[in-house]
Amino acid sequence: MSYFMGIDVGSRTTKGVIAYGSRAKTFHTIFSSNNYREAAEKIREGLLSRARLQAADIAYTAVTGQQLDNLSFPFHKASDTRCCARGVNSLFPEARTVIDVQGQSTQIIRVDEKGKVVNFVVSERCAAGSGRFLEIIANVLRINLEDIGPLSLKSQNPVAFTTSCAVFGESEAISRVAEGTPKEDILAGVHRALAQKISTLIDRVGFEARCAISGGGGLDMGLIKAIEQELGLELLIPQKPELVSALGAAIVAQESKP
Amino acid sequence: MSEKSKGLSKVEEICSQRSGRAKELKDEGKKIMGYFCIYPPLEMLSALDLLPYRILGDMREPITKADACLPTVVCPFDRSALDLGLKGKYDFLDGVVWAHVCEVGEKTAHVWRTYLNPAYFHFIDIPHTIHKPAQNQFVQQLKDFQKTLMSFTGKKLTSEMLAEAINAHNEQRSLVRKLYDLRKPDPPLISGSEVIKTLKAIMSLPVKEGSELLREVISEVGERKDGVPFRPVRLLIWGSIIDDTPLIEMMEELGANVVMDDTCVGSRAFFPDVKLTPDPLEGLAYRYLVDLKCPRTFKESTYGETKKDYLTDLRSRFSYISDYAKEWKVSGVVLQSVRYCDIHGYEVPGLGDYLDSVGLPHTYIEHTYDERSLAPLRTRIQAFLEIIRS
Amino acid sequence: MKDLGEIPPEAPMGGMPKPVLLMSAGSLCDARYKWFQALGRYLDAPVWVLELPHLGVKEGLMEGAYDQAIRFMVEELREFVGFLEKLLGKKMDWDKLEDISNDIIDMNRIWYETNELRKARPCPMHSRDFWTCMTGCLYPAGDLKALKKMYQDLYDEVKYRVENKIAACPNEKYRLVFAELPPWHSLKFFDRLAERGWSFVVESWAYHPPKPIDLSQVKDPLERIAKFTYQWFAGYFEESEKQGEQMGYFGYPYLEYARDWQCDGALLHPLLSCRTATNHLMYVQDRLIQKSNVPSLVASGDIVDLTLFDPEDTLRRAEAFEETMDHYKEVRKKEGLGW
Repeated sequence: MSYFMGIDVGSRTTKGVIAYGSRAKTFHTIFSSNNYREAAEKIREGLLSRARLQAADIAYTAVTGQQLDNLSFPFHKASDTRCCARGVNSLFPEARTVIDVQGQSTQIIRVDEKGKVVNFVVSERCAAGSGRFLEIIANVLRINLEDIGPLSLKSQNPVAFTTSCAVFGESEAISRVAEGTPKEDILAGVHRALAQKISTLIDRVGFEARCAISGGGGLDMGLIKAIEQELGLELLIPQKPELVSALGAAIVAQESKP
Repeated sequence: MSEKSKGLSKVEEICSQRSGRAKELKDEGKKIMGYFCIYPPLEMLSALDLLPYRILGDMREPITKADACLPTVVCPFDRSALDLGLKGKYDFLDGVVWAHVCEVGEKTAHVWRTYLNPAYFHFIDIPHTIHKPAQNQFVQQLKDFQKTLMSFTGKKLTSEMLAEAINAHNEQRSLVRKLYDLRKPDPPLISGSEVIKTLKAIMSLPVKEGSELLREVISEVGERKDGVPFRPVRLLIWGSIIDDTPLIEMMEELGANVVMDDTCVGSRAFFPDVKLTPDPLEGLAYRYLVDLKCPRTFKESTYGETKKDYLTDLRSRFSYISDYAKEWKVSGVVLQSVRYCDIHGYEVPGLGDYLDSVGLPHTYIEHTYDERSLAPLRTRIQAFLEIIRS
Repeated sequence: MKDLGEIPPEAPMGGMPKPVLLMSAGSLCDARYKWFQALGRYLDAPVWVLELPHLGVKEGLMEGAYDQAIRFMVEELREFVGFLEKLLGKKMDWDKLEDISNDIIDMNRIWYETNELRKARPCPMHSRDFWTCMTGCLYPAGDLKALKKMYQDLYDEVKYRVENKIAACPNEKYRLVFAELPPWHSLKFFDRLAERGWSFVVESWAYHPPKPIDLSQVKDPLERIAKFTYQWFAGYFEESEKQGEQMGYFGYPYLEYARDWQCDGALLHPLLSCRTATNHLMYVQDRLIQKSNVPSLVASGDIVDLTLFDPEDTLRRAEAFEETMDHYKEVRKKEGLGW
């Protein structure tokens, strides 16, 4: 009997999963605290103790997210695109398109029935296309990240952001606040702008139903609603969207065990 | 269009639904020809009874669709225009004529042709110099353009037809120059934003209707008493395209009247006339290649000069701007460009040196061609106006 | 303002001498001539802008358009010769020009044929060698006879490798086309991809020689130069038109490369500060996948700001992109595309 471990080191949090087959047995999340190697080591310890397993019980590990070398255990460096594809496939075998909204970037992945990557596109390396944009705006509005979604859903009149740049978006948000625009309308406007960016990314790789969301963006109901409206469809939403890549990494560990 | 609105209110009405008149005429059977930038000779379109309709962007509309075709590091105006096209806002055009104004413009032409695939499309190459062989080449380019136009319309384009259209467009140009004369008094009789709107409106109308509208605006503005308020600074604005009013309005709010421009929904597009030549295409080629003043064309003080002197070079390229400044009694020059515009960007240091040499205060601002990104420029402009006033 | 134009004291070999002429061209990117014009701030050297017509595919194929383009270029070159004679106070040595232009044309032909050899499986010559060798043809300087011999030797070597099936990249698993400017600062990056079996078999159109045409019957050396240069664009127009493609250069050549060099994927390298090398890449990506089922991986970078290029990020995506290339290999097979 073999267990496999997947670790996803993100810019904000590090996620880990121990899987048996393609099912998650144990999962765990900690803050990355700007020390990615330490986060990877820590999450491994945390996972083992939670699962009451020994290091020797883990047949192999895959690490994705931040690029790491020289960890204390043998591992496969895995592409987050591949991990995300496998993770979504294990949860929703019917998904053919994945919208993966992470802190630093957003990617659209087309997957086949086996969870293999058919094609993918990553947003430009600028904050406007990622969860970072939401963090910036939340900071301007002085609200917590968790409150973004519920507040945005209350909006009756989302503002139209004319800019596609996060820096200008920030100043646009500031001037909107000064004009007295309700916070929920600003947030819903940001959600809509992100949803439009996502729709454009999908234009570049093509679309096939059904469509799933993953990554931290999948926790944000405001964003989900905006994407569903923009694309005119219902998204497949994992219970723990932020863990999808870690789960996928555990599956990739099985595939790439030397 | 309502019968009673005249002059500036008609301008407002047209700008609020710019394609309205074109669509009306299309229903009556007229063909609408979109053109990009100021280099396609409009006379050739008017002569064949095609309506030349300027393809513009929209700085109030977020760019979304174009993000899939052109990267964010290229001219946001081109991106915006393409975005509107991809969103179907230019679907009423029967054809499109594009010219090789700049490199990004050239590629955007091919992208437009691929994804929007209009029934008629012609790409005119423009040489980079005004050398004699380049002028000949441009005449030949116009001959090829004439060929495809004739086959598209099924009509012959004769010299007489062209001469008539040239006269009509020259007449419109002289009316625009008259309109600009109204900016010379202090305070000016017409504001910078009103001028942009008026020119935008006539870029959407058949040439004669446009001229009629200009006459109405000129007579209305000449008579009105409560026109433009006095503002302490008179500005000239230079640079890449300005096809909407927020930037000008911001300057007005900060205490400056924009009384002159060197931009392409402005004097640059209208000031030079076409000379009637035995082969009208030669006169057209000369006007569009040599007389138009966009920095996309390489010009020097003497053709083939072997000795070069920086100041002489600058004078030959920019003295018209100080002429404008004198005639319109300008107290400062705002150099502005959309981000990522190479041809305007490269012009700025030299133009700045020239303006220093004639003692005209100037400042340079860059924006991303969207309404909201202008806000951070406010303090820059404010500081500039303070420098001029002190 | 002129004091800024000094040669830095630490410049290698004493720096470049002050030029007597700034020769630029309106070809491909606007910075070429606008930059030299702007240099007037620091240098009093005259500027000459060479012309190259940039016709659309359809317009370029109109009756008489080719001949007119050549006539224009020849007239421009003749003006340029007159200008040079005036500037330098000496006469053009037409025999020497004849000799030089023939050498350049010939050299480019050999170099073209060398690159044709790279169509072989496994590919005998890798992109890294292409980037090292392309300068001789693109910026011919020094002893042209020696340079020509270098290209001939290179051709012979590559041919030998083809005949003996010597691969540039051991275990060639994937064949790729690269566009546009390479990350000069990180060429080792290609080696790391080669370790994964990625063989870069062809690259950036603008750096490849034009398709050879027979110019032996053309008497006027200026006309020979014009035809040779314009071929760079025009060489792709007819095929481009046949395929219904509108971007005859910068766009269509990549479709031809992907087909003829049998590429599994493209690696596109957009640059923040070079518009010309960037603005068509999304379009190229789209045409490649739509027309040829060849997917692209985008690795953005810059030639000025090196921090913008993240080789680790691209290497991380490599694994996923291999699945994509595998997928489209199957798709192409199903559609009978032949590679």
